Amino acid sequence: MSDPLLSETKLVAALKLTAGPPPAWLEAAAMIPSTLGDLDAIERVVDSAAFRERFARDPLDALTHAGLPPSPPVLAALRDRLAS
Amino acid sequence: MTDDQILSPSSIAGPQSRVRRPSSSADDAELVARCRSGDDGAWRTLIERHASLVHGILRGAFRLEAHDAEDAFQEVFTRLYVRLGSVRDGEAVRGWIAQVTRNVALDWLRRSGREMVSDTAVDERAFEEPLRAVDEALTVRAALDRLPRPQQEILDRFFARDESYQTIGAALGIPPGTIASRISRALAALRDEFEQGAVEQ
Repeated sequence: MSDPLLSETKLVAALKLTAGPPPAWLEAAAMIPSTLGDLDAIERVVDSAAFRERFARDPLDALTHAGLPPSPPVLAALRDRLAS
Repeated sequence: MTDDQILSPSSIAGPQSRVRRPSSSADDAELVARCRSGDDGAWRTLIERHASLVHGILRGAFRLEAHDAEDAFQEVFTRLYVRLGSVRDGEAVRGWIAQVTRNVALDWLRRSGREMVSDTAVDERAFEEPLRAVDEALTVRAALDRLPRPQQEILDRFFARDESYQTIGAALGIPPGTIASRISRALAALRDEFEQGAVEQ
């Protein structure tokens, strides 16, 4: 190939690199709103010093104590909110 | 860099990014607005639009294992969903997602204790070149998206999904004996489209 910008090999590598995730990942991400549930509930617990202290010690215990589902998206959302 | 520091809308490696997305930025702003109002379809479209970007960064640039990348992928979109209400510039959401993905990947590497350059810390500079490669790859993918649908399909099936001539032939209803030449023509078209896009930058 005489392409001065990108060889055929690189074109092919680029296509492989951007193939995208398995469909199951997309389905799981699409479910995030329902998995997270009420965002207001997350905002409420974030405002609680007692919750933050408990979460720092044991995240899953803190979620259970606060009545939140101990799911990965809820954990991720709380980590994100507490870090910001 | 924090999640809130927005990179240029189409850039993951820096402002020199060549990814052309002339209309999707405005669409992103509209999608974000619709997501805020609880539109599940808009949320799904937003995910599908940026899935390759997130996946490419996690797997291609940061080389996360598949199971780690899957969790990190969900974490990126969870952060996006939680922060939809505070996204200041809907048109910059792509750059924001790229930055969040980079930060999530670094967090994963730190949490998993993988060693990079030093024994105790992840060296973020080690990922600059891989991120540029992903950026360039996304430029190629954008060029692919501008090709006629049959050419997109045959290149994606053969190179990205590793499908055989037989499988492609059966799926697309074309004789397997013609597939090699079709792939060759489609690759040439992709190269032309990529070059044209680069010239227009």
